[in-house]
Amino acid sequence: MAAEALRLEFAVVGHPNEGKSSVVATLVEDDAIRISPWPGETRESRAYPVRAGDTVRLLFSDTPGFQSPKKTLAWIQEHEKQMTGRDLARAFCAAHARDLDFTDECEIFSALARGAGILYVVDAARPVRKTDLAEMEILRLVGLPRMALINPKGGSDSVEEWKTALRKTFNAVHVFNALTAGFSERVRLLSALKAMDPDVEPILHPVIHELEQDWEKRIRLSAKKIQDLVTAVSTYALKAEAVDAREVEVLSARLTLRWQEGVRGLEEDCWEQLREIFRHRFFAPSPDLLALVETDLLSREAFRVFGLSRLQLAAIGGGAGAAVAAGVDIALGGAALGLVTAAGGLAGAAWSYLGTRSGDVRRVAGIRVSGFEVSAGPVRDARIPWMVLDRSLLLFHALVTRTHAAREGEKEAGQGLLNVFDNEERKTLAAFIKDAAREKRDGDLTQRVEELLVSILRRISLGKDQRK
Amino acid sequence: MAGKIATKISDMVDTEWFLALDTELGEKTLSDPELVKGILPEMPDAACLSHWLAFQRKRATAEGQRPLVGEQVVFALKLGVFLLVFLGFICGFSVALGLLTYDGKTPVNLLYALLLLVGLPLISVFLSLLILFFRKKSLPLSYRLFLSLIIAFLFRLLKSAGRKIPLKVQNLLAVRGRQMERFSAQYGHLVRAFAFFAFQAAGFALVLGMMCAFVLKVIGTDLAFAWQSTLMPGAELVETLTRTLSAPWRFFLPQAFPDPAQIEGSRVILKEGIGGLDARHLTAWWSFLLMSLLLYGVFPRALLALFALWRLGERVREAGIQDSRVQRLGFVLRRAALRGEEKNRTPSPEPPRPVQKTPLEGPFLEKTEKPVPGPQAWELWIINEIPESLHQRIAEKAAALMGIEPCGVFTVDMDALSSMNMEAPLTRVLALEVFMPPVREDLQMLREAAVKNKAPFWIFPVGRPRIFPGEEARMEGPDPEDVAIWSKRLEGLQEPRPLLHGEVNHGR
Repeated sequence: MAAEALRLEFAVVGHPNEGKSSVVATLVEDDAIRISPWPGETRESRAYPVRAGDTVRLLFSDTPGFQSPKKTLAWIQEHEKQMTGRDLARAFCAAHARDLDFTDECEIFSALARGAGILYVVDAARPVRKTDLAEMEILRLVGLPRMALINPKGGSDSVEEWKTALRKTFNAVHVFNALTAGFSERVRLLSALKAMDPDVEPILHPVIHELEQDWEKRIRLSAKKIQDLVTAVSTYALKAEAVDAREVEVLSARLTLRWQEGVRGLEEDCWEQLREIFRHRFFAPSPDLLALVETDLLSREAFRVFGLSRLQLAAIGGGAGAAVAAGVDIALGGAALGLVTAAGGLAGAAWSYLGTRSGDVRRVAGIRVSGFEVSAGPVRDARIPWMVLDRSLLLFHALVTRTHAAREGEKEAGQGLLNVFDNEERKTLAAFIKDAAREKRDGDLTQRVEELLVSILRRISLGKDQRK
Repeated sequence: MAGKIATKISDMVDTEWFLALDTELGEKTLSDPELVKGILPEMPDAACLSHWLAFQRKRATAEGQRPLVGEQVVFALKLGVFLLVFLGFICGFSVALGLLTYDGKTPVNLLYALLLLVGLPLISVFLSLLILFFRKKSLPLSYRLFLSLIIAFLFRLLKSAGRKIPLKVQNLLAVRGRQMERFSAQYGHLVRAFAFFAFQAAGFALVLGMMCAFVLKVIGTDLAFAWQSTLMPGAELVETLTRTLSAPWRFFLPQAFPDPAQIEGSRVILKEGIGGLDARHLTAWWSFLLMSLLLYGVFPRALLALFALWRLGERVREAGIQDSRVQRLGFVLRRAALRGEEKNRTPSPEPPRPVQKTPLEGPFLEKTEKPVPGPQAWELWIINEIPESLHQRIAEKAAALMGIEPCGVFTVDMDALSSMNMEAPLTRVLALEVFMPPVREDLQMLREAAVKNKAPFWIFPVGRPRIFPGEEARMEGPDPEDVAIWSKRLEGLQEPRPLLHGEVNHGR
């Protein structure tokens, strides 16, 4: 089937201020669509594309709300016997092109005249009223494929009442909260669109498949970006030479700052790329989240909130030490009664614990002085890459769970997300971070970590508390 | 119910000024016991407005020593007129002085003098009369085409700008635009009458200035008048012209009518100059010119200025403030007075009496009892989509808000609103759900009802009904955001328009 033939259009219609623009913004992932609590923000019908990669597969038309539903219904009732569908919509537009009372209706019907399927949006927070019944009747008489969307934006007090009323007129009724719907809800809605019309299914099926593949591609790309960030931070180093001995101290302090700024720059580059991947052009994290992800990486607060605690790191270090020492025990044929393993574990734990003493910023940044030469990094404190990873995951979570219709900050900033890792995953990541700090390249480990991050991001995109 | 008190410009300005101040400060400012003291519940809007204005003026004068805004505006207007008159006089005087010069060789050109002293005033009078009588006539086709092009261009600009301006701002602009329209509808004719008067006064001052300069020159200097033209018209033509012009005074003031000898004797022949002309003929023209100036300049201009002054006075007398703001003001003041009376009468408030409900629908609405006439009498109309279990509560709340109980409570269909019987001049309060924003159709119906109702037409906003299984519906207070949306949309309607009770809070 030709690419052009795979294009479908749906007109999102309804009463003013029911959240039509929010639904469109969420479905097409476009945060530039004007959304306002003040009714009547949308004044003309405009089609927005849903892309799979670079190809436009679906069009969702945002339309103004009905302003004269009763008069429109009277006209439709008068003419529906002579024509239906697109022709009726076209005739309406032609008859009312110059009538200021029907400006908004003409905009709605112009989308229907193109043969767009109808998505009728209602707010579940309020009861059904006569105006709504008039609107439903208009859409029924027009006779185009239609589905109702119950948008519980202000509450869901009247969902059942709406369902009962809508089922009388619409082929399908779907509850869809435009302000919270994640990718899976969006896909579910697109799948539900198949029920509107049997002709739609063969077109929609490959489109949904393409969209799912596209989402998977975005998750993989994000995992790669985050992995690259962790590697870059682990190996990030600076070097400078002082003019004389007195200058060394000043240079050390300056280099510590530059190192921090450098790491921050790496983080920001990664976040910018994540924003682009998820098409959040105007994404502005809430002040809470911003304060959290922009906390000075070497501050006490950052150490408290992000990454793994010293004890958790000691446990990972102890495990690694014990694994190495166990080899010696085996070689001795158990003559050491496992004492080498225990000693190895203890040494590893102590090394990890003592190696993550907080408080000395310069030590954390890995400041070394050799004569007049001062170098900063690679980072000595194992917690830093974990913290960077944690912050990126937090931002990723905000990006995938925040819909493009949201115009306010997140309600809660949340805490670190490293709890989604199990022990095995932590160990694998710890090994990767250790190798990265030593600039050791292990292709197999890198591949494993990438897959691991993909799996974690997939889980996060489904919900913050999803454990393996 | 019409609130029409202002008979002076200062009254109007002060009313507008204090109304705007009170709107900004809210209705609480109207509950001042001193203000309410003079209000009676049966007072019409005009009387309430008059009392309120007097009170506001008194308070403003007591608070500061600055003169009232009305006085300032009147002073500014008088100053404006005076300046225009002064300017007119100076212009006329200067023009006449510039024209009337004689150096012994070159006399004043009679045709110039006629054009300036007679032609100019006559043309300006003619234009003034055109403006006065043909202002509302349709414009020429070319002008209309040009105007429609300009309007189309501006409309396009406005449309493209509209896409970039948030709707909230657009609504605000619409309200401001509506206020301008209201101002124009209410005071446009007054402003035009004032401008007309100011220009007529200036016009009169202009010809007066000319006359003063003319008389001064004639008395204080030696002037010679002669006529000449490149086209070399015969003396007969000039004679015809002078005879026509002097027709009104020729018979009772013959000395101000130039005879043929004088006309022939003051003709300047090219190259010859005035050396051969008789001085008597050259100077005799002044009386003719003075009479021309008096009759064709000063007299019509004075008449027009007097007419403009009379017209301005009429417009001021006709002008008055009759809109929803005055209705709201009257309502709030009367309610405060009613509450005050009840407080004085019964120290412990009685529990609200259940309101008798008469649920009748459609245009054949009949009242069960004759309403008490008077501005405080009102009916409650409840939209039939509101659950019936809430009607009693709405009636109680509305009664508390209006200050007295309604004459009747009715359920009505929104679609049948404009076909309802509204013959009795009663205030109607429509209990309407506001959780859905108003659409154009609703606003049109509400405005039609407000136009049809001879008394104020109020909207009592009702919030979302909360229905829990097994329980009766509960009423929720209207969301302030919804009330703001309705308020702005209603303010955007033309007068007379429905009024919204913005202080409704049903509680739970």
